[in-house]
Amino acid sequence: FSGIETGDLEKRDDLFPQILRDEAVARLYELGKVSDASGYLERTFLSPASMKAIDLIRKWMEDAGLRTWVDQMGNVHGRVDGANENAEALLIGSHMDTVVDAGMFDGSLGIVSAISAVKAMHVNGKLQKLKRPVEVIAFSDEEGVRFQTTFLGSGAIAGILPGTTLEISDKREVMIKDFLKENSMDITEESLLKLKYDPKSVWGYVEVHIEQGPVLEQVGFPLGVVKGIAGQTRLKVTVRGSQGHAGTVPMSMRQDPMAAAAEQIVVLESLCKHPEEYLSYDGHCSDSTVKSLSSSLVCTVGEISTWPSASNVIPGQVTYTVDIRAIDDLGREAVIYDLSKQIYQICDKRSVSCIIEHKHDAGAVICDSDLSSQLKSAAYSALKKMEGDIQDEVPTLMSGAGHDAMAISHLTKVGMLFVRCRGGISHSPQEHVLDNDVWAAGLATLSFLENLS
Amino acid sequence: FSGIETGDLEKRDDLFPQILRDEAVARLYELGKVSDASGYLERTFLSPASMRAINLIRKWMEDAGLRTWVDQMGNVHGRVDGANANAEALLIGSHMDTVVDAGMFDGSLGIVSAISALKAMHVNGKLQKLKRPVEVIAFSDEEGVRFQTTFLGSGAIAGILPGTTLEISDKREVMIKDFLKENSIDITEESLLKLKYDPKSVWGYVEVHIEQGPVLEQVGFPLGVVKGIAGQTRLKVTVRGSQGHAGTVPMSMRQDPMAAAAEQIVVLESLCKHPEEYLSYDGHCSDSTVKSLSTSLVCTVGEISTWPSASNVIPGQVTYTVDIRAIDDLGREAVIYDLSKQIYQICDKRSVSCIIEHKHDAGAVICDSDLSSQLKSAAYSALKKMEGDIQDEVPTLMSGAGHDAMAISHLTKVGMLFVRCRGGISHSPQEHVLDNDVWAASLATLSFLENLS
Repeated sequence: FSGIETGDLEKRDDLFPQILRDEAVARLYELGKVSDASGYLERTFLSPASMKAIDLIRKWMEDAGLRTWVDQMGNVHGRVDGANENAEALLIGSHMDTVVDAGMFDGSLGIVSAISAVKAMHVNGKLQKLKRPVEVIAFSDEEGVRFQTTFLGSGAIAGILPGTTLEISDKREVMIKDFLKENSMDITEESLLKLKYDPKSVWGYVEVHIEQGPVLEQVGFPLGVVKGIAGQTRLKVTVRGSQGHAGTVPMSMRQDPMAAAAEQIVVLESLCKHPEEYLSYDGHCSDSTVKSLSSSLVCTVGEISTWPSASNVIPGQVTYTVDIRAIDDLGREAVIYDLSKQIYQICDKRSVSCIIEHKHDAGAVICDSDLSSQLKSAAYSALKKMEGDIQDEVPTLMSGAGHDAMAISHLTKVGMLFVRCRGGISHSPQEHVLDNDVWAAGLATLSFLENLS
Repeated sequence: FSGIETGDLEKRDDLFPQILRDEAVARLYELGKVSDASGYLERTFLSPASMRAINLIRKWMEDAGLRTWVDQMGNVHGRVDGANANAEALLIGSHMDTVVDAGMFDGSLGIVSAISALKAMHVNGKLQKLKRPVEVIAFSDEEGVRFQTTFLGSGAIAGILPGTTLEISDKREVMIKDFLKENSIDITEESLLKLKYDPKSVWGYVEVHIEQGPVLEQVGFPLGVVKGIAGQTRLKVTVRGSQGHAGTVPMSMRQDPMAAAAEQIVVLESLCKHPEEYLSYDGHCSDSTVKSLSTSLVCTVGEISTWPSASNVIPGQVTYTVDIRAIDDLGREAVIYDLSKQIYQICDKRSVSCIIEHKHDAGAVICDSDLSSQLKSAAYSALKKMEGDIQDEVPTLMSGAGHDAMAISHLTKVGMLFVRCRGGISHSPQEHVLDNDVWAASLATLSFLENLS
């Protein structure tokens, strides 16, 4: 899919190019300019720019025929009851907040493509024929920039935020509840808990998001269906040896934690690139676990430092982080078990000491297979309309980054559609999605809605 | 050598225990209290404590029958002309300055043991029978703490300091020449150059110093003869790859500089532990080079860091230092050549880029074989007197740390004797030398002087 426009596509009226591509792209650019900073994009939880964004998004929702409101956590809702307002609702969500110096597609694409798809149905007179209510939600805080807590918006709707959330402070020691009050939102623990949706009132949740990785671009597909969101473990490894003068301690008499750490990191990379060579079947992993690991396992050492950190001193201590993610929780645990074993073996062999601390653990979220199947059909249908002939299947891939779907998965079944982004770049002003890929995302969402049972 | 005192040793008058052990140890403790700080030892170039140390050292030199003076760079000299005032002089030197929070033996032991040995000859009536002049020099600045330039004292005597040295500033932007003026030492470039000794007036240089490493303690010997002082190269390696999200970039699509750096550090350690397995004979190394490398080569990664240094980000860049030392300059260069080749190969294989910067290079200093042979005999003789039977040879080892002998080697042939220190620890208040090892050092120096030809 080259993304090159062809004249013939303009003539087909079931593609809605004016709404799903031109207007959608224009709205993304417009939203991308709603910022708290003058030279880059920054729009954090209920900031002045977010308040402007709320108004803009509400306007677009109403333009699409949706009834709108803002809840006490700052989420923007737009709902159509369809033919049966008592049926369980489909939720389509994404976040409207950004990181600092953000790209304009992360989060925003999911909101705009959902509204555009609904607008196309509205224009086409099909909106009220939907078999169940459809509600678009723009979540107020997914990135957690200001209060260092992710999923404030979606967490409230899923009912997973503890009441003490309102007492979390930012760097200037302003608590969330006081900040909300500043924005004329009088919230209490009780009213926070009331924001939770009744699981019986919700049929499912769908989210469209840029991939934030390079896979779709590499395989040459604008859209991919998400199998699930990886579980994640973050470790902090500390290796302690014997500090000494760089010149006077012979190699054979050293207990060098830097050499030990280097060896461990090499083993980590090998383990994560080829888990099938390391993990055994004698109680740790089944064959299917190893297979799913091979395609989803990613491991990263992002931070490392030595102490005392002088070029002429054998360090006394080295500390580094390990971030391990996989779609299969059992597999991730097996990898951590094997990695830990290897780390301790290396330390024993070298007479240095090792401490492995588990800093963070989050289980994987598996997307609903029926929802994923429907999203796959919708994506296929959209691409077929745009391209004509499609030889390959729509790709299925894992999400290594967290998304609001993780929070909503506590409420209902979830499905996600990824959109190709240039170079896999995200959280950067260099983030980019092709106009025709925006179109494909809107068209796929439309197809999904048209086939909503 | 357990270091345990035995009663019989006290009765032999050729061991001079009162002078070479008891008084020497007492003087080391006394000098160890001459400090600019109240809770730890710090005595930098011509500091108030150094001025007090100068007076103390002069007093001890005069007590040993030496004629004393202080030169314009703050070095303290004590000289005896012996039987032939016109003969080339033997210089015995060590430094009187310390690092911050220092141990009391580093530098001081060489001064005290030299003075003690001469005092024993003085008491014994042999001082004036020396066949050539002997001059003890306490160098004013070896560590370079204040002005960040090593060998100020010995460099002046060797004539290797450029005239611009006097314009070097400390952190408070005080230049050396102005600092000397504050201490009533009026120095000019011309008079600095005049401090240089005429090579024809010097027969050789000997230095006694603590080992600052663990070898002598491990082999169980109080003294060792130094083969040479290692040459040193310091590299800074920068590996640049593709920064990315820890979760979204598959292992097979990464250009991870941290994984590359880890692999390089593992290779470095292996190369430095087993150079014979890496270096070839086809133009790089002869057999003797590889042999000398195997016993003297040490390599250290003391500093490493990532950028942007976040646990959930594949780093875009990793930077680390490499310190490589060997007694054989050709071998060290061959190791660096091979290491560089391997580093670049790893980077090419992983599609990351590498830059290797040479931050510092210093050639090795080989001790004079005749001087070393005489020092070995002297050490053997001393230990035999103290212990009776000695089965093993006096060890020969490399110095991986720099010493004043490096500077003086530009003036004359040099020899060094190392003294065992507990745990190989130096530059620390935990630095310790056994009383009987102090005795052994002085006794060996005495034996060397008695056999001076």
